Amino acid sequence: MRLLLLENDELLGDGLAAFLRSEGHVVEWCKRLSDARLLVDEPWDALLVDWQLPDGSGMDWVRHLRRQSVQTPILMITARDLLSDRIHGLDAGADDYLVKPFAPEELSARVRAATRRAAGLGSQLLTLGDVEIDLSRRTVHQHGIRVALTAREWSVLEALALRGGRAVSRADLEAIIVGMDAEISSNAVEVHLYNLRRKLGKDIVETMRGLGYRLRT
Amino acid sequence: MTVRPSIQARLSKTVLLISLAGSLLTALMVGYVTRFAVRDLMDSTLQESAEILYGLVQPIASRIDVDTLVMPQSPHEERLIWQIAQGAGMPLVARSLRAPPEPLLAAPIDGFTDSPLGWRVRSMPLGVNGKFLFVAQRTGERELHEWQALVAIIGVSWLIGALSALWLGRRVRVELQPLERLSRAVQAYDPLDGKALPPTTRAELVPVQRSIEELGRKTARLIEQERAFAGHAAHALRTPLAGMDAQLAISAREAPPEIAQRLRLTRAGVQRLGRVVSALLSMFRSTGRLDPQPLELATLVAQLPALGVEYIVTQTGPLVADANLLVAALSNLVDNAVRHGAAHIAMRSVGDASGAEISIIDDGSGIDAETLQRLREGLADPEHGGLAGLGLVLASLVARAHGGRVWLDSSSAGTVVTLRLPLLPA
Repeated sequence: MRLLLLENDELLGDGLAAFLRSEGHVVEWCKRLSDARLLVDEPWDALLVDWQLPDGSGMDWVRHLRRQSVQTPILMITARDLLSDRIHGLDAGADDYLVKPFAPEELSARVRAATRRAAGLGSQLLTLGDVEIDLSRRTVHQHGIRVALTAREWSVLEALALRGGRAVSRADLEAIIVGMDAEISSNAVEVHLYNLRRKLGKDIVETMRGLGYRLRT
Repeated sequence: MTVRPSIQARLSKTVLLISLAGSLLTALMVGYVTRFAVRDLMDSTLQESAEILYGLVQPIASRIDVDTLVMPQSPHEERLIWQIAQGAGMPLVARSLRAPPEPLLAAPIDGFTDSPLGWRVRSMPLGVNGKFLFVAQRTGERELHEWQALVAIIGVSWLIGALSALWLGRRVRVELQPLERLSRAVQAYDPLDGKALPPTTRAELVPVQRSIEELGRKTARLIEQERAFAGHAAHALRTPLAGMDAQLAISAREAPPEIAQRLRLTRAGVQRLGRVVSALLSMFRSTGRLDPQPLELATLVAQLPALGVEYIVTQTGPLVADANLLVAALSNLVDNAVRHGAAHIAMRSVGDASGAEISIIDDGSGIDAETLQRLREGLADPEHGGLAGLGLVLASLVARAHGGRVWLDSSSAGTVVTLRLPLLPA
């Protein structure tokens, strides 16, 4: 997943970014609202936003994004724990609200849940014919046998799964891979898609001319 | 709780007693005086009558002889009677119709006397042949008049007494109303909502009201300072705690196994510290103001740390409490239970109209009898003296903030902590 983390605290931001990366996500960590504003138009699977930031209110920004019809799942991470704060945060348009201190594992699980909900998926388990994708455990089984995927292959598959049958552009898929590895070849997306089709059957990913790619439904 | 007598009840009782005693005393005194006045009045009547009769009879007294002359029947009822008696031995020479045929007095005197025949007699010498005039009234009739006067006086006195008691009682109630209003206003007074007490209408209550308001302002200032501190502390403490947790989580993943184990232990410590800090901040911030809401126990338990323990939640009836405080208390109790080897924790809430009881039942190693006794004493102590850990103290503070308390029970099969939370208006 591509996650935009907006947290000004060095210790927490660095720890969360490292933890989420270790979970296989692509994480862009911003310490200032102004930096996040420059990046928000990129394709993100979720935004993780702190409330109190040195150059503004994360909450106001979330409200602004929702007014701009940004649909990306947003999780507030904040030290403000009052019931009224939670209500305020959720009403502003956040999909979830996590009070510090929290375990990064919980944040990761809530990110999965929020993205799954946004994709209209009822559970973490996605079954496509004989292929079973477990978004929580990051595993793929075919005919009940586990299929080994590389981290990049998984990221491409996850990105497609989370779009819930809608097309993902080549540029978006490229952005996910770029985030994981600074140097990629110009045909990296095609290579990973080829490998996925080879491992899971050639019709697992459908090419939609001019639009991009989507998972078979 | 001791039931104290009310000022109004005491004053009303005193007023009633004074009124009744006063009217009784008045009745007795006035009755006593009136009795003599009535007697004097009746004696005066006898005297006047005797003098008039004397004037009529004296000129002809020498012509009235021993053959008793009895006056004919008169058209009026004869209340006073008269006799004319002749000298020593006192044979009668004349009498009125209702007068007895025998003389009222055996020996003549000049003045008032009571006849053994039951008459009050005014005897008067006529100055002719030792003749005497007796004018008399029945003693029984005189007593009847005395009693009638007495009864009327007592009746009127009691009536005045009763009316006074009613009126004074009403005055007492009316005069105590400002005090009652102030008392009600103080009960509903919340220094934190910024509203002053309603103005009092009695001079004596003004200093009381001022003192209460001043105390309220001081309390509000203190609480606001505490809350402001809690707000700053929340940010200053929560963010680095979350940061440490995240750093330790990723470090434990990346470190070689022998260091990873240490990092995991350190992380568990940081997480415990996080729960304690959260609980303390909740307590701090809630000072003086609870936010009671109808709650679902399952929702609260979902906010508790997982800690690898299995929760079994049951709830019957309502649970009204401050969610932040209750989560703070429960998370620290769960922490205690897990550190004492619990693998399963049953959370039970039983509520009714009078409040709710939440029990945290664990299957841990339990508490030995001596420690249990010490902990119970600590829970009963207003200062929680003797309680070393934070979990029970927090639970007790939270229960007390809700007007309740904590019970502790334990055996080798585990420990039960029960929080009694009387129902608070939401």
